Amino acid sequence: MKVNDAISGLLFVLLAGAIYYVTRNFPIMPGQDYGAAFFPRTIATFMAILGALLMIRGIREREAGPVAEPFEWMRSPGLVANFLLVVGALIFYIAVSDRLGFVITAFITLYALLFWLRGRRFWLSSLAISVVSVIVLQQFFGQFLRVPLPWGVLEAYAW
Amino acid sequence: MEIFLEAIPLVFDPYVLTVILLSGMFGLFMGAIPGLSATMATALLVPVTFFMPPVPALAAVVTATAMAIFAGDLPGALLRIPGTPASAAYTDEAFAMTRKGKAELVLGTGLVAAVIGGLFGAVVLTFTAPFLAKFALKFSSFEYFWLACLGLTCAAFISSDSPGKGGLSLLIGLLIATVGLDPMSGQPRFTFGSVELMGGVNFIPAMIGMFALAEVLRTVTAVRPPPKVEQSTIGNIFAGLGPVLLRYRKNLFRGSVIGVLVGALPGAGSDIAAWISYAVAKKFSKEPEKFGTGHVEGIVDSGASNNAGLGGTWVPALVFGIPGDSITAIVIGVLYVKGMNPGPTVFLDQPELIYAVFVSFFVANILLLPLGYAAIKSSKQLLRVPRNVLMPIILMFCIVGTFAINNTVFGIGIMLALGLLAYLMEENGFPIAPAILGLVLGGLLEDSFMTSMIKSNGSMLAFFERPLSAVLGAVTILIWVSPFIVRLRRRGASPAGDT
Repeated sequence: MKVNDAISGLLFVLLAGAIYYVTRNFPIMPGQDYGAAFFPRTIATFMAILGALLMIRGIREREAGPVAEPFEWMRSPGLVANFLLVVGALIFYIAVSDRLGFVITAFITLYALLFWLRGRRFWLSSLAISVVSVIVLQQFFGQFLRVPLPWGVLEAYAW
Repeated sequence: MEIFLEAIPLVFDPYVLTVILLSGMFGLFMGAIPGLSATMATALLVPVTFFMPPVPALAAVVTATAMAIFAGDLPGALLRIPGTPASAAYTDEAFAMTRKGKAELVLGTGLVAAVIGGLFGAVVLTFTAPFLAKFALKFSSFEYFWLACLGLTCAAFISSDSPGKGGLSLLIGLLIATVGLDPMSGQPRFTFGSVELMGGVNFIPAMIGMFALAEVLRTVTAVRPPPKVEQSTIGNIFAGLGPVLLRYRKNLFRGSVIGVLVGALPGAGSDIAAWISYAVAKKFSKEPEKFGTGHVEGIVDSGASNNAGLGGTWVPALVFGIPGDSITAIVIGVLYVKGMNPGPTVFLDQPELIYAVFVSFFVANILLLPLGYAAIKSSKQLLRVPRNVLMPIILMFCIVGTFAINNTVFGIGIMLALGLLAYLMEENGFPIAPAILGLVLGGLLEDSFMTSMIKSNGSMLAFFERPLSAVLGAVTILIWVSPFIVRLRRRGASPAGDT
């Protein structure tokens, strides 16, 4: 969503207020006026000032464009699906990779993305690319760099 | 000088040279593909360098970025899309030359100018950094506090048309840096009960999200499909190159000098160096009317400038630990991971490692000649790699790279959250580089402030008591208030208010 500067400015002012609220009970250091809250609150103060300035500018320039308009791609269902699929792929990976293991999760994620982005026509080459990429990543990170990528249900077949 | 000679064998080791060669090819590939920038190449390289000893790790970053900055010229000349922001200044000019059938000349000029500029940057880095480090040894926490402020301020001001938005982006980065246990009191801050957040937000998942994931999202939602390569074959790129370089030798030198100087400014990197050099070339040219119509002069200047700028950005990064641009912000993070705390003391403690960085700058820029030549020759194939295949693979690489740092999927969540944030910010005109600088420097800023406060028993005036720190502080504050002064003076000139 592309928004007028007044709205982004307002969000920053609100964020600054939230920082003040969350840090209200932070202890100060013994014998000092400054504690754990000092630095976050300084950030919040600057944020509120700059946010307010941005709001003023946004209000002044309100005639220049709409208050908020969706990104250009949001008008195309295909591109919206692309966006959601990338985000969804990450959420899917976070949710199941421990249980299913890297090889299976990565393969599903990669094949789904390739199949969708390239189209049904290329289903076979997408399949080949997914298989090769997953094996290369598993070998390079899992074996060569010794990253403990989870095996999940394939634990018994780990190489 | 002896240390420099000692450092040479550290780089000329089969393992390190292999790493350099591979990261060089990786850098060329990333730079040549529009949308994949030198910063993104560095971001994706870091999880791999995480597992290497310091010398190959840093050599990999040096090489990949030098190659990527040059490779950005390829799609600029052939497709009129800059491969990296550093090539944007002369993309129209380069494409106009290709239209005239001079693709070979523009690419050859770009390559040789990049090599010369890069080597110039390496020389300047090698000779000035150790000298400055001796000076910087006098600094105390007061000076470091101001230096960090100065670096962050420049970043916010330079990277955006709107300093306010740059500043807000910076504050977001600083805020993210405060997440976790407060180093002084152990108080958990903004962790919202999450144990994983107590250790803070690791900068590697953060920058992979902000630079790589955000770019993947931008590419898969691109409304217009990328254009096709016009010219089919690339001939001899060195034909007619000699006279051009001879004629514009002054431009080569001028571009290199401007590149290093701009690069060394905190907050400005290769892209800004190229813009300034191009403008300077036009201003002092004998035939400025030819600029924009496919004239090679500006390309000599700015092609040398952006590669020289890379060397320049490493000067403040190594000497003060203040990054010059987003790439060196990542480098600073890498240095901390490798136990080489950037700053003047590293020149005393581990001089051979620092000099190995200098050596790898020379190696990388010499290697740029053959590898760059090969990349130009295969540019047609390179530019035809379908993005719909690349993006899912890069996404997978982001996932594994993030996981490799802490071995938990929590990092992937951080990457996703910050990637979405960076995407929204950039689409609304907020630059991303200041946020990464803020994230990397936030810890230093707070530590040096708190240490100084303890030393001075809480007196703010202490920040101006030492002469060096007073000067640095005055400069920083002057930059802060300069936009307001400019506005006031303008208002005085025209009572109507806004110009």
